[in-house]
Amino acid sequence: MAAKFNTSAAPTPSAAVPPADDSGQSFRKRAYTWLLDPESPHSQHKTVERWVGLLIVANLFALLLEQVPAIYEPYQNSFHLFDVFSVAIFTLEYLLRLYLAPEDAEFKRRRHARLAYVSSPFAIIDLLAIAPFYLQAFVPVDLRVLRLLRLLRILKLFRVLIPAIQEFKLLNAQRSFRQKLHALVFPSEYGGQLHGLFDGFIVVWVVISVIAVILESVQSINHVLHLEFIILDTLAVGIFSLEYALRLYSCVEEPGYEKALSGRFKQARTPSMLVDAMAILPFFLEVLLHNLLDLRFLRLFRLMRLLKLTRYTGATATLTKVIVREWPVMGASAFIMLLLVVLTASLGYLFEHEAQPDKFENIPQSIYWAVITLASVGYGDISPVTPMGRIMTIVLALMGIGIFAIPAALLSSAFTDQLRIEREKLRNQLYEMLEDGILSPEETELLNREAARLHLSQDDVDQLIERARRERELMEDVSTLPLHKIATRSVHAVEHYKSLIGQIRQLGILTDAADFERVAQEPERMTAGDLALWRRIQGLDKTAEGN
Amino acid sequence: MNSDPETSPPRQQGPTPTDRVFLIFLVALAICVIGVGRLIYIEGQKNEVSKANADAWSTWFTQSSTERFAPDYALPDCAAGPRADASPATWGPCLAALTAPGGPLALLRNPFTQQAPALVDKCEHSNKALAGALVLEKRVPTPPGSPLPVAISALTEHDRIEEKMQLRVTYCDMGAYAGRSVEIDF
Repeated sequence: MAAKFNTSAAPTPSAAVPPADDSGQSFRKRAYTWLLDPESPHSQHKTVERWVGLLIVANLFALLLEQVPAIYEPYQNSFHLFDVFSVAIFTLEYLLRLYLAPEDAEFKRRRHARLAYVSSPFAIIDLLAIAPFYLQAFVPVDLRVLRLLRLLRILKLFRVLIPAIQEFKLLNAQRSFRQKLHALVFPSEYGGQLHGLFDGFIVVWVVISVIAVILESVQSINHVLHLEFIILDTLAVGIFSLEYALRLYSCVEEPGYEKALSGRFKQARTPSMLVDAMAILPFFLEVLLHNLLDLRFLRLFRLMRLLKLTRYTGATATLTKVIVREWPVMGASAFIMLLLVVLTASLGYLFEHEAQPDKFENIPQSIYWAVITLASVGYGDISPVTPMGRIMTIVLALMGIGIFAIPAALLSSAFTDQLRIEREKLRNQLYEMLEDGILSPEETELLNREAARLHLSQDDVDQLIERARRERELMEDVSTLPLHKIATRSVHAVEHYKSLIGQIRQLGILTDAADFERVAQEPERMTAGDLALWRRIQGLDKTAEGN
Repeated sequence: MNSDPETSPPRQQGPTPTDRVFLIFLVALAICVIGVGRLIYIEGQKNEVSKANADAWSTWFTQSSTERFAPDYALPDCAAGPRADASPATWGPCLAALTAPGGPLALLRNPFTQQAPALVDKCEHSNKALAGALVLEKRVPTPPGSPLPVAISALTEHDRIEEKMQLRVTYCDMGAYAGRSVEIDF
């Protein structure tokens, strides 16, 4: 989980409890600050909203799944329990907001804060989401009508959507339609929360469609839900196709892709866009080329949608960098492996062909045996029977452990190294950001993005900030630096000079002035110029003072 | 079309003619996806009909598995036990009686060919004409010590049906792959 931190120089403590200075405040105030206050840096309101949002989405899926008798009937009780649980949580949320309404900036100035809250649009939506459940306890309601009413829970999503849309509008005021589309689908400073929700929406659909493809291969499930899978796939392709079109249309707002045709063509050739295209193509090919292509292959090809998730993680970019960086070494290792495989396969063929002509029929077949043995897989379908063949297998297996481990070890160490380099870069960036002692909102935004990309936890970020802050403080104490480093910056040089003068003055105060004069005047102890300077610093040179 | 989000001046906020063309394209794309989805759905429904055909056969076999041992069974060609003329009771006449006009399974149609579902030895995805066909197989227990507990082979017209037997019904889906098999007693 990526860390989020605030615009302060000090590391942000975990927001588990309200700050200590709140102890004098009422319980209601503290509860509001802790749970619902969007302005408080210690608030958990985002966490609360996130979990409530997830519960709403889960309710939506539960409602959809209830329409499928094959799923609903065997798990009727579980569905009911989930419904009760959801209503309990939503009721708790409603009551909490009602209780804390007098602390809410929106209602606190109103005469009847709670009444104002109850009549607010969001509170009405919240009430509509839970009312049908309680209604059925008093009035007999048809199950279908009840399900329809439960759809009202989706309206609760507006609590997340509306503020995001408002923020998006604010960020994109005076911007063109295409720029707005760009802000929605591409990461930028104009995207705000709505861009995050858009990404989340796509990720959810990727996961759903991949799970559907996997479940489709289970014959007993596909037998019952075949048509439902078709509808789900059509929806997923519809969403991914629109996303693809939006990206291609608005990519000209992206630096480096400004040209109308060549820019879009360049964007279409990027790995992530190729993956996007592959995610939707099988759907269309299934209809157009069903006589030419294997339908089962096309359906499994839809699993490529999983690669769409690589857009939302920096892990693949880091891995690509690592492979590119280590390519020469890995190439050398692959060459040694190739040599070893071909040589051992040839020897295997030489020793075993006569004894087992069906298994060691030719060198290509022996290559299969050599690779399986070198990789320590050892299926056992082809094994040597001659003494020489067995001796060679022993040597081969022992060498395989080392040879095949080289690329894995290289990759793993290079990956760790790359992460270290990137974290070091982030630390240096932090160091520069802390030059003025605070983190501005832009700097915080950048840090959030980088922390998310490098998979840094809140603790990691806190440690980084603390380290950068300490190092900066250390840098301010220039006396600890070597002289040539101090000399590189005039500001540091002046400060160091002032510090040295201060030390000389301190020395003058602490030492016996008369004895110092006597020793300094001894032959070859000190030059006359140095002694004059000493006197001047100590304020003993009356002539200089007069000047 | 050149633009830079960082430096370009504020522009027209509403959709430009190009934006409108793009929006029309988006709608067309959505219609295209829905159209293709509908075609796939229609094909999927054909698959459901094939499935229902296989279910109809399985249901008939299951129902007949006890009824056909009664002396006055409605379909004498499918009845168990020896015939009056001492000839063996085989699957051929039973199949003919089942699919003959007025027979219990005569109305079934292969949705891909609009003809009665063909009974084939196995589904082969290389032969798309087999879509919607049915595979009837008999399961015969093997002697003790055999590597496989049951031998499965296609039900032929000459197979005897005098005694209780175990069958497997499979349908070929739209790609002519074997769908889910149902094992039943007959």
